[in-house]
Amino acid sequence: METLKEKVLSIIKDHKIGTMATLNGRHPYVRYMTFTNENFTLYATTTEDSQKVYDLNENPYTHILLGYTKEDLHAPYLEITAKLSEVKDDTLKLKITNFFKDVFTSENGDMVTLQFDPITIKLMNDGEPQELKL
Amino acid sequence: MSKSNKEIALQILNENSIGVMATNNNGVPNSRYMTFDYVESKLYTVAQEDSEVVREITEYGGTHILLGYEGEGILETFLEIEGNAATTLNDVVKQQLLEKYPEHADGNFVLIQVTPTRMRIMNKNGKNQEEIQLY
Repeated sequence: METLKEKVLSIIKDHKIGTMATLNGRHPYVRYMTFTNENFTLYATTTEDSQKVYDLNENPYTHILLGYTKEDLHAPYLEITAKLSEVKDDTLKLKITNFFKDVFTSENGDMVTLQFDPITIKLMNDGEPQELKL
Repeated sequence: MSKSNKEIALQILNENSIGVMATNNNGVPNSRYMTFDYVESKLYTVAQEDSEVVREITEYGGTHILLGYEGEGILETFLEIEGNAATTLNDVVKQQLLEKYPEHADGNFVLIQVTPTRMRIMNKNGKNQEEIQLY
């Protein structure tokens, strides 16, 4: 029997595209993002002067939906509340930069790597919602 | 003849029912998948009266919705909709939605109305966005 942690990790590993909500002042904004992960920590890349980087510098909290597909409306997915933090490990930073180099072929502007430390992860669509606190 | 962005936007509004709705939960963003119906220039969805989304929009009505994405890994055309959300008593729309989703007839469901204030259409990989003026 898979544990909650195992189920959550397998969804994170299998789904790279999700949505990421941030607050701009009081106003919420949400956009599609590509993520990669190291265990439960998520990474994304974006241009340094983008709106989401501005939003996250003002308010580091984000809400991410990962794993939902219209092909299978009953498949489990995740609701993740996370907080922006810095990528401290240089080896890891290089690994993530290389991952995104393969994903995004066009380079425009200075790219920054965003690290999101999850606070709570809710497993949805797998019976009653189950919450993993980290 | 290819469709104008306005025609594509209306098609997404009328056909793509599942979207992501972001709200402000006391200074922390929150979001969830919801089913939307587009009736007379407004989006409608239903939620449990005691749900987080109803509490959040009552405290702050500003919302942002993504609608129209299809398929894992392929970014198709979709809409980014900024709007104001509020619970509403629109009996005509409520009746329509209850007929469409009879499972909501039991329980304390309320109707949420979103009035769009800005709409942008995004194409593949989020580039070439364009403002849509529907009216």
